[in-house]
Amino acid sequence: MTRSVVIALGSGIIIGYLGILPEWFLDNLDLLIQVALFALVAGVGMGLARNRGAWQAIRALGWPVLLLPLTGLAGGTAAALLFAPLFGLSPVQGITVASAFGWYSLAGVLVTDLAGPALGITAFLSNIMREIFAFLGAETLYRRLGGWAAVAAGGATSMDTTLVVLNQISAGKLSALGLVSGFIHTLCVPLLIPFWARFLG
Amino acid sequence: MLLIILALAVGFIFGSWRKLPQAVASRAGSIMRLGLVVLLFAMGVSIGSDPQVIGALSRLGVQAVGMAVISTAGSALLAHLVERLFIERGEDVES
Repeated sequence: MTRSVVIALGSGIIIGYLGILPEWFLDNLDLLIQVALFALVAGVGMGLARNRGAWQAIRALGWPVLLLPLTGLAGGTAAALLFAPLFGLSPVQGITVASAFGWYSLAGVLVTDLAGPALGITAFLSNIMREIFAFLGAETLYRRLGGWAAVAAGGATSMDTTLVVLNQISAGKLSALGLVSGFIHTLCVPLLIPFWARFLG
Repeated sequence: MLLIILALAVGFIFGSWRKLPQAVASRAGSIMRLGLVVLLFAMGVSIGSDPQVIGALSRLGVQAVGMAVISTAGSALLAHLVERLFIERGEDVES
């Protein structure tokens, strides 16, 4: 699965960069992505309806399932606080950028608005990268460390794009966890970015 | 987000339909595999063909990649640690 991800994403980036695709294809690219994502998430929904085991992970856990998104949020924030200076950012700048948890479209707009275009571009780019790393790392994290690591790596994207990857690598076992975690992240991101941006100098 | 919830609902209703042909249900996995490749390719093209992304990547690549790596790793590792320490080992045996 990881190999398919690398080949599909990598060839897309290279072909897109080379600019050899016809104009009509590029014009309709967003539509293609939306339609494909809709169909795939509908497929995940179908699996959730048909596969009784899909909810087991959550039913067995009960409310501590919320620890998954909470640790994902806390871990990403703590890592940004500690290591942002290695990459030329202040700790608060780092946390602001990391607080998008992969939701790059929102990160780009919101951080640009609150903290200026320079940090906005970093937020946009690093969250695109986060989504890519979540795709690439999902299978390895799942096999080596378990489901929580793979779901948490996806951050907010675990309820849409990464959800589809999680569903594939786990034969549906991680779909429900991904939805819960991604949903909580998605609710928190629009609150966390403005919260941290207030502390920017 | 609304679109995602709508897609889930459509799929869920379709999946709950008892008369859903077995042929569709059994091929869903391979159709989704193919669909995922199409989605990832399209997302790749979208990233690669955006001059703003490519331009910024050459200037801010190290910073962006670095922040992505540490925030992804931080989320994954803390979640893993809590899963290990506090969540029963029983249900994760199959993985």
